[in-house]
Amino acid sequence: MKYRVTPSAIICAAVALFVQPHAATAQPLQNSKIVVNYEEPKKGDHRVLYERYKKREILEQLSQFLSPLRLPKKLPMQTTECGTVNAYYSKGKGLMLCYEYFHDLETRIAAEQPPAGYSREDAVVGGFLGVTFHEIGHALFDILDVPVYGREEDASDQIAGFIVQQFGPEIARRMISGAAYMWMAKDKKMTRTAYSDEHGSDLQRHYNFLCLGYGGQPGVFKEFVDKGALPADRARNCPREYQQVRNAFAKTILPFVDQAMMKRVQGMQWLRAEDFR
Amino acid sequence: MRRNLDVTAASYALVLSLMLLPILVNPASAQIAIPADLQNDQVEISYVAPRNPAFRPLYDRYKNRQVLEQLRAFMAPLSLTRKVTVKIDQCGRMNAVFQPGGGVTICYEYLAQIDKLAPAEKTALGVTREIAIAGAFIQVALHEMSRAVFDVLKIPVWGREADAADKLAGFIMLQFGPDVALTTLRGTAHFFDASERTWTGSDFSDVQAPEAQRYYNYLCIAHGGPSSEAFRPFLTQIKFLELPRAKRCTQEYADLRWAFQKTILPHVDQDLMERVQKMPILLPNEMK
Repeated sequence: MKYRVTPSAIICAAVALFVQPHAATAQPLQNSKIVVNYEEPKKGDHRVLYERYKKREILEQLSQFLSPLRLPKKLPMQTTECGTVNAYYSKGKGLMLCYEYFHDLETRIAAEQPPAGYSREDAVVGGFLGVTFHEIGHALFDILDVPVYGREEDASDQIAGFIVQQFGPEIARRMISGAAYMWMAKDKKMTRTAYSDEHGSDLQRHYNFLCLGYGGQPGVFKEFVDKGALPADRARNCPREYQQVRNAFAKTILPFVDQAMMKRVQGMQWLRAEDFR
Repeated sequence: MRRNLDVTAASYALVLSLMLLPILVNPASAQIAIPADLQNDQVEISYVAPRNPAFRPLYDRYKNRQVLEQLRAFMAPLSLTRKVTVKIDQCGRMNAVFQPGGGVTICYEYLAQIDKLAPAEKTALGVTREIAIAGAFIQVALHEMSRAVFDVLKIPVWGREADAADKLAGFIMLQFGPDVALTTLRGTAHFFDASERTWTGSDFSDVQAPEAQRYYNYLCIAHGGPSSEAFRPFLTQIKFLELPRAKRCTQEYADLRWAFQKTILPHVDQDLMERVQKMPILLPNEMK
């Protein structure tokens, strides 16, 4: 069964509002090390995304959102046509957010009926932010010379899951469950060699997001454990997993964060109920 | 400089395997003399007698070979801020879950599984029973010790902790030349290959990675590390080099090396390490 939604509009509105300071508290927030660019696509489907992203100034607002970060060098961020469904960070090119990825995300999520506890709207927005902050995670590991013992792809998901939990329970609930659902909806049968990929399987990533959410805010994510969406065996370990991420963030990223500016960013109203309508 | 490994790190990491391998690879190997003063007072060891008589031969074998005493001696140069108990015990399941503030437990059940999955003589890939047992034991010992080291030294761990412990274990295995690296990592790979089961649905919620994923993670470390050429025939035979992952293993290894240099090396006593390095513990013929 197909459901008609307007995912592009949702994603633009929600992301914009997530990263756009509330008008009443807006101060000049900018990270001068972040250089943004919207590359003009050739394909018509991508053109729609390009125009909406550009009009909404999503990259500029992400730059504002990242204004507390003291980056030692430039971080280019661009939306671009990649020729494949992907989003990635490259040492040379910076953050590459591919129109193909977000077109695929929107199309796929629009065609799905999510199980109880998840929503398409949260999946589109949470998926966008989950992927974007995931790639920002790669960038931070590289630019800040962060030691990463585990698999970097999982670590980047942890960055994303941790960041979206720092802005109150509602954003945490919607963004984490949205990202988790995106991966569940993407799940495909694993072949033997698929395990060689440096990314976890889609279902691993689904559970990792839920676990980070439950570990950080048990009350907010308890329903996922109660319904069995996050198995109890894993759930028991989640507070420890969240604490591990929190400690890693405090030791490796926080020294590069302007605390006063971070408080300002955290204190702003990033998301309102009407953003998802 | 980020990507340069301090030679000391490699030397230090070498020692553990030099100490552990001979007695495991060669069943007839005699006990190794460990200088009485070369110990880490913060490491306490224990071979707990198993309640299940089926595990008694394992208890006798590992105790007789003094694997924990040598693990403790290897830990001598590492400055630990609290006591860590390392024991072999009956767990009632395959793995004991490491708890923050706790100790390391290697389960008889896991050791029995290692024995069970080892080939009677040799696999088609040339992995002998001795290599299979030695590699898998060293993997689990280093994996569990890595978790304790992360905890004791309060090392920031990005990524899933169990994967991080696997990667640190794999890193250590590679620091002592191609022969030992081939032994330990092929033995490790055999264990995870032989352990593999089908994962579906909520299996993927497990805090541990699927066996196949761990298998490939170790292969990637082998391919990306300093013994890459020595591993080439093996990795070619199992078609690992044809996989997209193979292209990125050198960078993965460099990142791992950097993490080790930045977070663990500052806790190593250089003088003690030099002493440990001088211990005549590896006899070349024991590796054959």
